[in-house]
Amino acid sequence: MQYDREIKLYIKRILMVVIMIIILFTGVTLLDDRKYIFCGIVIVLAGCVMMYHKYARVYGTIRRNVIIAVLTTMGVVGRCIFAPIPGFKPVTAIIIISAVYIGEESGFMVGSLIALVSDLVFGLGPWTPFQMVAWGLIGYAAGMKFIADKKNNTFVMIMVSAAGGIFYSLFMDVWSVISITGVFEIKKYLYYIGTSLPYMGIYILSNIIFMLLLKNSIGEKLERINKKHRIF
Amino acid sequence: MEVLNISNLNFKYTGAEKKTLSNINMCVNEGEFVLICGESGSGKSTLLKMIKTQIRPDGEESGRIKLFSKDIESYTEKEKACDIGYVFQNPDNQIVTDKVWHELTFGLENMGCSLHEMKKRIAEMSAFFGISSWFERNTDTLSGGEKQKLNLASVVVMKPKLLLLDEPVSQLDPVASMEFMQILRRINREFGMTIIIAEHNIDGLLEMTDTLYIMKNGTMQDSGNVKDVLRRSSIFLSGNVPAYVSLHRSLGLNTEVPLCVRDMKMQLRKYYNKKGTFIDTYGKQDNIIEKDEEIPETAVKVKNVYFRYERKSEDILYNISLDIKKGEIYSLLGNNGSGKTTLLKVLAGIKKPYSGKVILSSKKLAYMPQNPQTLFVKNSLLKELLDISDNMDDINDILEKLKLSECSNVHPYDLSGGQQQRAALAKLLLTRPQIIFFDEPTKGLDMDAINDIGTIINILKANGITIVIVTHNIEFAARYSDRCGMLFDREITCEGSPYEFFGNNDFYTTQAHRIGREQFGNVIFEKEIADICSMIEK
Amino acid sequence: MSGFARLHPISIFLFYIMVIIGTVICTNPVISIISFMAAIIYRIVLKKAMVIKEILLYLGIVVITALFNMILSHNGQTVLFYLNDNRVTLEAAVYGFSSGIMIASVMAWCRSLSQDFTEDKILYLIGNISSDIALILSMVMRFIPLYKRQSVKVSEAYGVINDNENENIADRLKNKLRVYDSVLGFAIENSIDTADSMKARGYGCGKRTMFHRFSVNKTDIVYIVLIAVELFIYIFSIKNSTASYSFYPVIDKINMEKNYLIFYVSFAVMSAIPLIEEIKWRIKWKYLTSAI
Repeated sequence: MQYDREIKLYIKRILMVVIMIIILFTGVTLLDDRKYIFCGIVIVLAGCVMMYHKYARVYGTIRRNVIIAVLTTMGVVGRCIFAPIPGFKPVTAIIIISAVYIGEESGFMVGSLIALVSDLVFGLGPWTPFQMVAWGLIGYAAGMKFIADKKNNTFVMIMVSAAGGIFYSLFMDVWSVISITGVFEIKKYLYYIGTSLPYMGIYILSNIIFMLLLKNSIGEKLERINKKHRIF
Repeated sequence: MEVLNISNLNFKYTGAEKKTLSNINMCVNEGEFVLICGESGSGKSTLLKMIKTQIRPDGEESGRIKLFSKDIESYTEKEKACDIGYVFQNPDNQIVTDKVWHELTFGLENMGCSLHEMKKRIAEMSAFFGISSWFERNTDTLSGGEKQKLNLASVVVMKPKLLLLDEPVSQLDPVASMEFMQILRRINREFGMTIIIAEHNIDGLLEMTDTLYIMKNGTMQDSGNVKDVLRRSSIFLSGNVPAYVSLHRSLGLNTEVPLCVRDMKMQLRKYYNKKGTFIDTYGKQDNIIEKDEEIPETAVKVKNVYFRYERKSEDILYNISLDIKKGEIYSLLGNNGSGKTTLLKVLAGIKKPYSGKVILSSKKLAYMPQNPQTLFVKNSLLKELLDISDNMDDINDILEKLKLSECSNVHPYDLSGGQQQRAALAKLLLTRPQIIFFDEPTKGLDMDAINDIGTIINILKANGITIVIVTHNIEFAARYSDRCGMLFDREITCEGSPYEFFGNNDFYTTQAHRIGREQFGNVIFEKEIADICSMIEK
Repeated sequence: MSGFARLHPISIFLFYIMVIIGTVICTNPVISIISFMAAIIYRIVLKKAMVIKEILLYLGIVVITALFNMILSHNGQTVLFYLNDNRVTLEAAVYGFSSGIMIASVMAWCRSLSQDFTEDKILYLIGNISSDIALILSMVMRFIPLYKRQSVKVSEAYGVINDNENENIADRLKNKLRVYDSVLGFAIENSIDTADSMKARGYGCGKRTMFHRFSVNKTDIVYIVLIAVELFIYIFSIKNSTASYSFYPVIDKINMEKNYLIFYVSFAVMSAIPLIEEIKWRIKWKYLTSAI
């Protein structure tokens, strides 16, 4: 029974990958200039669907689901609470801190759902799927064991949040370059990065500041609830 | 038919030293309305959670629970979820989804019901509960009473055979809680659904109850027919009984225990039918006290205040004027939505009136929100207090005064309801306020905890602190306040000392006054009636 | 609610996917312009005068994108002028302009999408992929107003304690942090109750079904068929390169042959679906009210 189900799951996953490859292949062969953006959208959407599928299959216990909903909401509400201080957004820091406590798949969930929900609140756009994946991946990376194990090391956490800022900026620049110039060329990409450097600086700075400010409070609360109810 | 049979149930929380439940026996028949009553921490919630196995807490248990003569463990998860419905205490926390329709269907979705079946069932339920018009609304826009009604509806829609309710009305105002109890009564009487309800505030429930269980310290003190149990064991409930029951007890009457104000009134009339004799001698004491005192200075002065939330909305407060003296305890009473809380916020300076003035004698204010959890930030009580002040002597002093010394290292959320209230108050007192505003300080508390709050308020008053309270709790206001004011239709309609205020009211007044006013005049506490009666006996 | 939003979520979703992806992956500027026009007209019909600011934003995007591409891209033969020894070409400008139109139309479509594709429709669609995720989202939607209200309460209560009128940025940040902290504690501690309430109502003990209030009607089927036909024509056009258009080294001329026309017209018809539905809806009501 268990064995059967696992085989089915693997078949499903392989099928998904195959379908994705077929779509990508046809896209690349048929489309000319705009193939990058097409591939980008396909990869991003398929990645999200696959991660969600994996999460729901493997990790979806009730309390974990509720905690993910709570953390997602706190990410969105955090954006509102700290809103009047311009340029500084706590979202990435919240995602990283949550992820090191709740693990990589849940980290992805929190990251991508924060992006989806805050865009639902503030307006959807073509960037929504990219933002979902960008924040989702930050959550996934921060939740990986070798990082999560060092969650009490402030230096490592600062580096992770800086890296999160850099990654977010670089990732969203890929989308900007593809959508504006249609093609992905390293030269244009570098130029674009150059123009968005100040933003990257703000991202990094705000990530580090919010990491230092929020790490203990979020961490303590998650640790306590986990100790009391064994959720993660 | 026997629905539930519990024999020799014991339970101990992991890490706890004492058993939370010891040797509990219970037998509930079909269609019975069972009330389990006992003070906070008596184990009644734990008992209900033991019956609803999905939410059993961690710990050691022994004993047997049988549902329809079959061991409860032998049911599948799905059967257990369907057959036993459970309504929690806090109306907000148990709502899962954002839309009313989704909340109603949530349980049915989990059961894997077909779309057609779901539509049929929610249509029936909404019609019965009279909530059809809410269908599209966001759950967030409902009031507390409406939320709890929705919670009940979304459990009943799953057609449970046994309905468990854990203090379902403790967070509601009196009107909403009466309405909720009436629905429970209808569910019980019209469908024969078996209901077990745990509650410490039993006023209004007694009339519909078939069997009463009294719990104390994890043991079952007594059980059986309501009137018999109340006669034998109402003493175990200390203050948690309505005035008519406690009056009956303190008079030592040999009659049937009254289950409502009417019954007690009739009995009194029968025994002491000497109308008019005592009216003139009682109830004047407060006037004498007032004449003795010199007129103290004003602490809170409100002059012709008007308030509305938005430019285009309606006025919430309309030409309000108010004078609260220094060192006075002032209670603001009134219905839900009468603007009590808004007025309190205007007084505390949280909201600014668009016209009129609020003059305060001191800038040292404190505002105690309805939910004490609002004031918690840290992970232990001590840290909470250190957040406000770093003077350890002060902190220890306050902990001592508020009987919290033992829990200084406990996480604020692990404290009991009454302790949470006191902990939040401790935090506020560290700022050394001169005027304190309380928003519903008795909400969800049992009688002991309410009396603790009352005692603290009196101590504060003795220290010259002015206290303004917004409350629904008439008995509390009568007992502890110096003056009461009633807010209705955007203005304060009547005001006066408890004797003037409640003594002149016919409906909005204490139970003791309703029981005794015709015979004994201006009495507002059951103790006064008892005193008069013992005088008559002599 | 717009007339289009009354349709079944699947037809709405298919339409937006088709129109957005169709606009994005096609280099032919005619398609971009058709899509842009359709999107803008739909916005105007929906929002009337309110849309002026939005249109200015879209035009701004077009201009910025064109400028950006002119600076970045030096391909193309028709040199307009030199900037820091770099060629600035007409082709790059036209290319940028065309991309700008594409981006602006996608943004305009996304605005309408936000409006037409209400939250219950999103939950319905996501629920078809995973009911767990849909439920988490629904919970988030329930928590947001709850926590927002709680944060107001916390800041009110603390505002009374430290009634400090001239507070600096550090104080403000500290206060906000305290609010966040308190709300987070409130949220996490009380969430266990929510989880219990879900468990008590049988969540997680078997396969879930999903309640919804949508039904597929004739209009939906007509539109779905229309979208499918358009998809077929679209793929066919890509295959025989009707859809492609090259800007470099010189700009292609706009082709108006038969198969091109079919491609353009079919796309235009498809893009006009929401507009048609909205107008149909309005005429119907006008007729109904005048009949009364």
